[in-house]
Amino acid sequence: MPLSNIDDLFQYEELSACRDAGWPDCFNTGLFVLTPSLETYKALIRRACDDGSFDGGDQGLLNAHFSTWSHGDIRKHIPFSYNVNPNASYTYLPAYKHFADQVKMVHFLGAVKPWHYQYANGRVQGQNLTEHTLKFLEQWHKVADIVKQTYYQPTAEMKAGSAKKEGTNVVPTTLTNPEILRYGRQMIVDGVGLPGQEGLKKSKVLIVGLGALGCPSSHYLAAAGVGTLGLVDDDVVDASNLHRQILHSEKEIGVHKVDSAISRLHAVNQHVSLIPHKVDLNASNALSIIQQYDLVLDCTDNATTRYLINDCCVLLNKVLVSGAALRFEGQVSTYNYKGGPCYRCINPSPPDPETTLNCFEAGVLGPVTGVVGSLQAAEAIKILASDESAYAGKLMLVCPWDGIMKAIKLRPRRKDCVVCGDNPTVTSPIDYVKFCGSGKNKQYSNASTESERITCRQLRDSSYKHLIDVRPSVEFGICALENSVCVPFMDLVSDKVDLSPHIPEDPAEPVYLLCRAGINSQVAVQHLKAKYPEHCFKDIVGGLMGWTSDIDPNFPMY
Amino acid sequence: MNITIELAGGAELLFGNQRKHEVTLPESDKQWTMATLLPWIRDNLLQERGELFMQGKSVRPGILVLVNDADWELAGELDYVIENKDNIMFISTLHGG
Repeated sequence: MPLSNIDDLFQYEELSACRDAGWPDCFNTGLFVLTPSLETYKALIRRACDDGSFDGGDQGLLNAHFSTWSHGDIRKHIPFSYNVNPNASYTYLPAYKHFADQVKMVHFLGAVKPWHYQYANGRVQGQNLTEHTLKFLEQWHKVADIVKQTYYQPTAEMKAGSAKKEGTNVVPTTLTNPEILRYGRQMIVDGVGLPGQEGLKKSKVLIVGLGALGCPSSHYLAAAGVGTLGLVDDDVVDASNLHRQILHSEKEIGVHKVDSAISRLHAVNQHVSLIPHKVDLNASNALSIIQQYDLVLDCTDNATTRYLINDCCVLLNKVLVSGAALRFEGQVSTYNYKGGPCYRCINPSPPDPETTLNCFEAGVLGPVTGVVGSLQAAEAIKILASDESAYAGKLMLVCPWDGIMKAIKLRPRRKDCVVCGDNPTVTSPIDYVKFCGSGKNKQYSNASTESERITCRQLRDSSYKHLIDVRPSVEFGICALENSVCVPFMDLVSDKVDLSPHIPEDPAEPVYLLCRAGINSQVAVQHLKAKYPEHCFKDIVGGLMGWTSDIDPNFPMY
Repeated sequence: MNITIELAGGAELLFGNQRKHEVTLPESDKQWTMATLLPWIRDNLLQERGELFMQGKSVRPGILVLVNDADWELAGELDYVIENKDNIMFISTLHGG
């Protein structure tokens, strides 16, 4: 315990210390001056491992290492006033009394320490203590009291004495010391801190969809110490998921995504409570699932489920962090946050299913979904830890391909919004498949009649002369049938390209239209028939996916 | 009057897959507003069927309109008077994931 300023110790060089009274001229290691050094540290560790310590403690080890201290440079001998043992039996009492004012530092030497004594009303209780020992012990307790009052706020539970334990002179918290060590690197970030980490620990987050967005976001939230994660999906892992759905690996192909995610997330953080919901989220189960959580991440892949989740979040007053990605672009926003807009305020009418694209049709880059999922996780952490949002009332546009990331300002809540407006008409979940005109999986209607179509087998057995592949050229570049030509669907139906080279002079020669799954080729047939009514156009049932499954298993699928 | 028209979220597919268009609007007696700009874009820039871009006098559902990086609702929607060097952006709402 320092009794006055001891800055003058800085003028001493390594290793300076006070003498331990009597033979054999050892220094006392209650106080010493040394220069912090990794080399000294390593040398001490080496010595401890090789030779041990002659007294079994720090004093023996340090005296063996700095063995020239006793007979070396006398300037490295620090006066006793910096290392005073208040024990009377150890001190020359009359001299002590005479020079007491010069004591700089007290060393409470021995097994019994100040905190072992009872202390009340400014007095220490103890037997066989000298007057000056008692004085130092009481001074120590007075300082300890000030420290406690300044930094230590006991909870009601601790005041009642139920949580008294050794070594609790710290801020009371729901976190254990191993948790503080584990999450320390994020806790020392401004805006998180101890309250933020406690907030994460007590939070329950629902992640709907364990695909390309749910994988990174759930990983970061589990790793960050969110107490409970609910996981919703009803699909199994497919090989075509692996380029972007980073929780799943090759050995999980065919495994339920919820099981695969739980196994991985448990390995990341065994302390997170992981709640499986192996269901297709729909109007009949969504409310009962969502109401168990504080915050929802929309990581789904279709407009129908997005309207369902939004409405339930508004009805249950839950914050919704929404992410979406397609091709090389992503979008992130937070809905229903402190009076801000909901998904319906921004998108009051569902898009025509014919105009929306999904990842199967349009593709998506893995890292793009990683960015979007990570932004969703960062936003969830911010809201749960600091009760502030980065993306409420904004739409974050992300395009890593073009190097663009920007937040745009959205409109405020719509007073006439049917679900979050002043006079809502949607007061419970509705029929979202009907509302959006399409379910989770797109339904396609056949445009062609049977006479306008042929099967892959019929195509193989025919000696076709005119085969037009209407896939985008990038897909045609991946794989194509022999003697086929590429006229992308968008070019074909918008009449942007000259089709005449592909139209035979003899109208009786059939022209076959081919695509990936047998949908666009039907529309192309209708378009060409209207343009060239004399000619014969046929589409190929099942497209190239049908070709692989029925004709040539070695033809690549993607 | 010179303005920038930007497309994102897949809306560029309706405009020849070009995400940024620097355009000069023809001189006119009347002020250019969003109500007059939308049909002009449809007739001069759009490369696909008009109904994929417009519905009635406005844009079709699923396309967000931004005037200088803010929702056009904050600017007056169809009544917004276009100014020189404005940035008008059309973004398709994404659903994939």
